[in-house]
Amino acid sequence: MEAAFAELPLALFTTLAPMGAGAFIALALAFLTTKFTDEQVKKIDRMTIIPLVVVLVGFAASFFHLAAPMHAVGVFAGIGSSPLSNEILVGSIFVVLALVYVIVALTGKLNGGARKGFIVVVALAAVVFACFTGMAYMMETIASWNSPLTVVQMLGFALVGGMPLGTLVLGLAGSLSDALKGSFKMSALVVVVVGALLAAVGFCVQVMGVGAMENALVSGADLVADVTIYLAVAVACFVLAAAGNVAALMGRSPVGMACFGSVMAIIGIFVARLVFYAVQLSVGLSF
Amino acid sequence: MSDIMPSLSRRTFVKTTGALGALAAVGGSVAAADSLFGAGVPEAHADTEEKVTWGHCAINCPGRCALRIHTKDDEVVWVETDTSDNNAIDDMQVRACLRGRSYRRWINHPDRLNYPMKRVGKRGEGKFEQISWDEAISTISEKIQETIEKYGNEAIYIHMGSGTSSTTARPYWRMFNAMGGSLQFYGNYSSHQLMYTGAYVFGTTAGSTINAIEDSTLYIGFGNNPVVTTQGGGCGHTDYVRMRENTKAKIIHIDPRLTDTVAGHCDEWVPINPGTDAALVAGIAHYLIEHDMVDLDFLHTYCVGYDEETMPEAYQGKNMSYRAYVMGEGYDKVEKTPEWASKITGIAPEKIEELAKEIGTTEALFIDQGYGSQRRSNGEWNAWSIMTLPCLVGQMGKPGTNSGYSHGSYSINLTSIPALTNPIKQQFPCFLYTDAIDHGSKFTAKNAGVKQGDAVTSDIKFMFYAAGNALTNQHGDINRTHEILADESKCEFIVCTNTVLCDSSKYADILLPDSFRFEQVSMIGTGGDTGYMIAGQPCTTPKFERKNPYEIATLISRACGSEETFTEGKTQEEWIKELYEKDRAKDPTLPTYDEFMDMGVYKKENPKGKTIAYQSFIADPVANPLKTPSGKIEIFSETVEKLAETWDLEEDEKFHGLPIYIPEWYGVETTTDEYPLQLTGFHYRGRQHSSWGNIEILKAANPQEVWINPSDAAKAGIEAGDKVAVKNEYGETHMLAKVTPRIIPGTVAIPQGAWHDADMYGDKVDKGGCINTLTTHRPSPLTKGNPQHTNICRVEKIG
Amino acid sequence: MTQYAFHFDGSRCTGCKTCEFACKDYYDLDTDVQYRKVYECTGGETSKDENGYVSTTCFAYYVSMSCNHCDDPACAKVCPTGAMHKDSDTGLVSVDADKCVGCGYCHMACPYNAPKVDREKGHSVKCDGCAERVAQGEQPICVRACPARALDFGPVEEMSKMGERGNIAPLPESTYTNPNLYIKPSKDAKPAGSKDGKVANPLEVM
Repeated sequence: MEAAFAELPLALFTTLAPMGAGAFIALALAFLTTKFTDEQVKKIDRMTIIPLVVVLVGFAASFFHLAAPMHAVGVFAGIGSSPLSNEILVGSIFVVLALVYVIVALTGKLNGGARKGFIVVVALAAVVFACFTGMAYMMETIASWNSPLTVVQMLGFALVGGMPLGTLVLGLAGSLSDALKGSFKMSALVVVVVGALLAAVGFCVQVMGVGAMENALVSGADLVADVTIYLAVAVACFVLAAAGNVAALMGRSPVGMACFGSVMAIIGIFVARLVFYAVQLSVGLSF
Repeated sequence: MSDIMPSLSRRTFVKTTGALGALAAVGGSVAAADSLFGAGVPEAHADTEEKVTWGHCAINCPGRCALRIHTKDDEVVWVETDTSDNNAIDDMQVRACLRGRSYRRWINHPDRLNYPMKRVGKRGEGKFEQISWDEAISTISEKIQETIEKYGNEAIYIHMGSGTSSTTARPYWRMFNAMGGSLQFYGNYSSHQLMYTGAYVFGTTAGSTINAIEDSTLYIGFGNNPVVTTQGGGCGHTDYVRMRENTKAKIIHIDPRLTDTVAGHCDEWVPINPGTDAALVAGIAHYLIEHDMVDLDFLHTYCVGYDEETMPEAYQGKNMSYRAYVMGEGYDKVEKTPEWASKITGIAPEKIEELAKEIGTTEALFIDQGYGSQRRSNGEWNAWSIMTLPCLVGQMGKPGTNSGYSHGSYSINLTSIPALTNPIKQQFPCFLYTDAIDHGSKFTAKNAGVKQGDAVTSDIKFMFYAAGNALTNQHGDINRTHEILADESKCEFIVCTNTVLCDSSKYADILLPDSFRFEQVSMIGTGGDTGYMIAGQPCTTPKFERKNPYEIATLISRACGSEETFTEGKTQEEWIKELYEKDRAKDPTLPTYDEFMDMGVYKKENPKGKTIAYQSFIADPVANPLKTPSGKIEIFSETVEKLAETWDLEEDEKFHGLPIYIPEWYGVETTTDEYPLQLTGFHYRGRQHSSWGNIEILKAANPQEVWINPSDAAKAGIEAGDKVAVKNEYGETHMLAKVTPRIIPGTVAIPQGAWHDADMYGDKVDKGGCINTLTTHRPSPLTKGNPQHTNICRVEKIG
Repeated sequence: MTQYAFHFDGSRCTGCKTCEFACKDYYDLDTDVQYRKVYECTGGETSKDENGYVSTTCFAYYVSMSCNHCDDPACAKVCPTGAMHKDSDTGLVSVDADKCVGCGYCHMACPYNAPKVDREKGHSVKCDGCAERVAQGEQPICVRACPARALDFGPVEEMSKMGERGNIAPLPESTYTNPNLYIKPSKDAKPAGSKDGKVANPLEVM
């Protein structure tokens, strides 16, 4: 497991960026299902800076992973062939969209249908970004990662982390109770539970599958044995994140519960990401 | 299988570990980016500014490989070797090994000695202070003269050091002989027991060259790992690999470890309990005798002591022959059946029978031994037994055979600077040097194997130690050695020369900065299947205040008033030239001095193609008798039998004039509950003995690890890569565990030569993994050689 | 285009690491950077029975390997900047230091443990097949160093005549990247992908 800490910047990036992105999915759901007052919208927009900051901190962390960050402008050269370039492209598009959305929204010029349309585009970009983040790790030569479950769990992380964070934004903006009067409650509940399931099942099945793998350097069983406890921690955190979010959606100390859910999600995803790096197992002489 | 895998930490990045380092490194990486070399281009050496000189490795491996030293601005930038694009294995090139290719790290090592120094701490503490050459030389010369006046020249001693060699690399015996001589050792730490036992058996020892195995049908090596112990491209390593491709012989290696000589060809490995070769040979002999496979004609024509027919007169009718010993009629009345040998060797009876049958029926048998079997408490009997084996089946002196002695080489032997005459004649075995400091004046022939005289007359009081690490690191029982060396009332003065501060140098009172052979004019001759010699020029100008041995000896001689006798008015280069011209007078085919200096490496094919040991003796034993008392191969040695009768020996040291199996003290049969494992040593890739033991890149790629079988590791709760303590009554040393099926259960093995790293005025626990923390100083009974492979220990997980 | 390739004769290699150290000397590599590495692949058991008799199924052999300058290099495929690239004239794969962002994806993707990120230098580092020497008509430094003559280098047409493509453990099956490494296996060598042996010296190669 200690090997995974070498990937700390990446673990932070893949925890924060998809989760922050996921919050925009929650917000899209809220705007699609709820008619907020102008005052509420203003407050929501201000609080939307929180998930945006989470995303940006994630991206900033990723720079610490690079040995030569000043060459980062060149990372688009591999678009099409390099899954990493693709991820960064999609991620950048998402960041630009989210940033523009927040700026435009904060200027108060985003109304009605335009807002709905824009936030849906941002939310869709968040989904695509989460999927591409997962796909960046699908390499034929890394047997333990080369699975659709890598994508599934990343999408799950975006949802199970993004929903409580989005709920928190609404709560802090004093708009949650209104949102909960409509279909937001049910749809958010479904999304966060589905997210938790995707995260937990995708993650667990992928990691457990590593147990049957082996290369000339390490046995997957040893790798899995090392991370089992963390696996349990991560899954428990996903459950608690979803539970916190559900509690908030049920109106039980919504801000506190959404906050709790968000924190649980961060911990759970972060641990899961460390586990993910810890079970890296090449088909060959890398691990 | 996972039990042999160390736990690993993944490293995507180098130079930093972990994300914190990564975070911290970001600033650095930006700065470093400016200094990047061009796109995809390596740090090039196409630069025409580079100067190239020839030189040679001088460390104690017979390879002495050729070096082509590339310098720029008077600094060594990389080290090439004798090489070409011709990779055909029959194109002989003296390609240096990984150590030769790492010389730059040693030459430019931050710990390189640059100035003369005097000790300011206690002996062994390693605290020194820079002094001038004037002070160093005057102190040394005063101490020499004081010692001679007070104790005589017998109290002056140069211990064996093998860190340098060339025709002029070891001038210090000459230096002392020019001022009345010094006490001499005989033998060495490498092959002492084999050499001197071989001398009893054969008179003059000889082995066939490796390429002779091409004509063999069966090769059996005992404790022999030539691809590692002779690692260069001009000697055993390449010769062995080439031979393996060219021979039809079945190859068998009998060894406690699956060595790198066997790796890739593992069906050749027969694991054996260390120290039991003599028992194996006796078991094989029993089968050969029972099945009428012994060559009686050979034994009766060329040997004495196989059976009654050739026993020396005084020993006839006493059941003292080798046959009597094997068949249970000898002194112990035990029949040496394969079953008997199996219990001792760990080799199943069927396997011993199979070996015996192959030995007894093969057409051309090459019995070889490395130095591993003899570096033991019963090494003489292992060595002797292995030499007996080819005699039993008459496999000697013919194509494809060997004497059972170590395989030989064809060398160009260049003459070294003469040592002059030493008025002090008596010599003692080199492994007894600490005893010679402690009580050398009590040494006699009978209690200490003194030769060329009956007794030593003085303890050692002044020691000069050049280019070596055998005062402590490579000697038996470091902790005891420390007590003797640290006592300034015993050896009163110690002078060391070296390139770096190794463990032995820490005991110096004056420490002098030495030069490498490639930092001066130098010349050396050696060989493997093919002979070669190397000549070199200084690769750089002299740096700091380092001097070469000839200069140092000249300065000391001058101060002691013997300069004229020492130098005869000649510089080192003049000596080299004069000595070479003498060699060229004997062999006019050699190139001229100037030609040789230009070509760097000169190779000479063995005129016989392949050397076959004792060919002329076998062809005509009457015309070409051996230099033994009987003129024959002495399977029974009357000389040794008489020593056994007259020498002072402990009960467990009793021997006979026969190659019998003597159970070892600290052997596989004498492990204890406290120390349940046998511990043996071996030569390692990354070092030649202790040389290069301080070079970080070599240490990283050749980690200091104790080899332990998975079954023994499991008992001790040890997993691969664990940090372990290896302990016995002599000390404790730490290293990593290599859990591997490549070693026989019940035995662990530590690569010798790791740098001792202990607080000798504190807990004395060695953090460096030096095996001599655990070895004994007790010599072998007959030849008084070093038994540093015979130890018992336990291994514990730590930290 | 001439695709260059390495040849490794496993029946000759004794695991001495001279190749690795000649390279380290020539390119002045530090302790933790190796462009060429020597893997010890070991398996089987050596045990004693109740009589104390030893039996063994142990095997061990060495594989010296650097970058295999693959036909389909996984490192170049995943490289986001195109810094890791395959030369169009020689087929040698190397890093363009001016482009490399140092993300480590090449290291992750390569099944032969060839590239690594050197943070001090600020980019990936790996064997480039001694491209500069090769351009001057010389062999790579490792090939010219091997005392056992277990290495060779040349156009793939020549090297492929002397062995099979990357076909022994601990290498993965050659189908992932089509390495330009042609091997004459030693007697003990197990086929690529075999699980009988393990890399027994990970501290030395990882």
